[in-house]
Amino acid sequence: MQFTTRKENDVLIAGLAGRMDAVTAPDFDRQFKEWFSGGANLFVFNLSELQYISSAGLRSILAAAKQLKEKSFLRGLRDPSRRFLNFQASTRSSRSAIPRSRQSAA
Amino acid sequence: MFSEIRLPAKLENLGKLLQSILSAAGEERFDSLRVNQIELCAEEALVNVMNYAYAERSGDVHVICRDDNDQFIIEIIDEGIPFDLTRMDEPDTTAALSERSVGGLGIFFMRKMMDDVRYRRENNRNILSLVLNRKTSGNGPRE
Repeated sequence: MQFTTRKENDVLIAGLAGRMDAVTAPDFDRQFKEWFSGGANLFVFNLSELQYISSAGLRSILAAAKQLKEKSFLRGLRDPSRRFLNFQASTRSSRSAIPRSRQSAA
Repeated sequence: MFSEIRLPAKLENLGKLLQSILSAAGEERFDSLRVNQIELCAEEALVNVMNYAYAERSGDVHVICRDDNDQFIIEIIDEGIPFDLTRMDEPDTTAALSERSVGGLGIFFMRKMMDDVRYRRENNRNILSLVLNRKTSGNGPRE
């Protein structure tokens, strides 16, 4: 993974690029910790240069967003990851499109 | 087509295992979107084995890619504790961010992207099958 940053007023705009998988997601965790402990607490994560993101990557971004509470935004994430990790309220209709048959067997 | 690879179920082997699956998928004339979906779902299945299958010992993950009539099947096999991923609950994508968890996201992706996801327990092994319908259009005999 590669990271870029720029500051706009109090906002840290963090660009994430490359592959964010189970192997590389810890790189982001470390990088975020550094940004956060450096005093940044308003973030825009720009994911438009990410070639690939798996649930391990989404878990890391979710953990960062939880730590930041309402003070972060995501940009450039595509479906279906975006649908899952929509920082605004997701719609109910997108959820009902998911096949549920297997789950009901549990 | 038939290919297989067997390696210790360690994160350091994820790249090699994915490469093997992608090279098998490459022979199937899937388009690039489909190949991306295969890569993502295979990672989810493999990482699940690496993280959870072997609690107190190390073990292997065995991957078989094969054709079955009109389907391309990726079997992810481990000899770890019995676990049926297909019975996991899906994440609640409507929950507030602070309540959101990514548990079950792997199977959410698999259900959305694969044509079928099957689990069976056989000879003390977990066998998770990612199933894709093969392209029957193009220059094949089917047209």
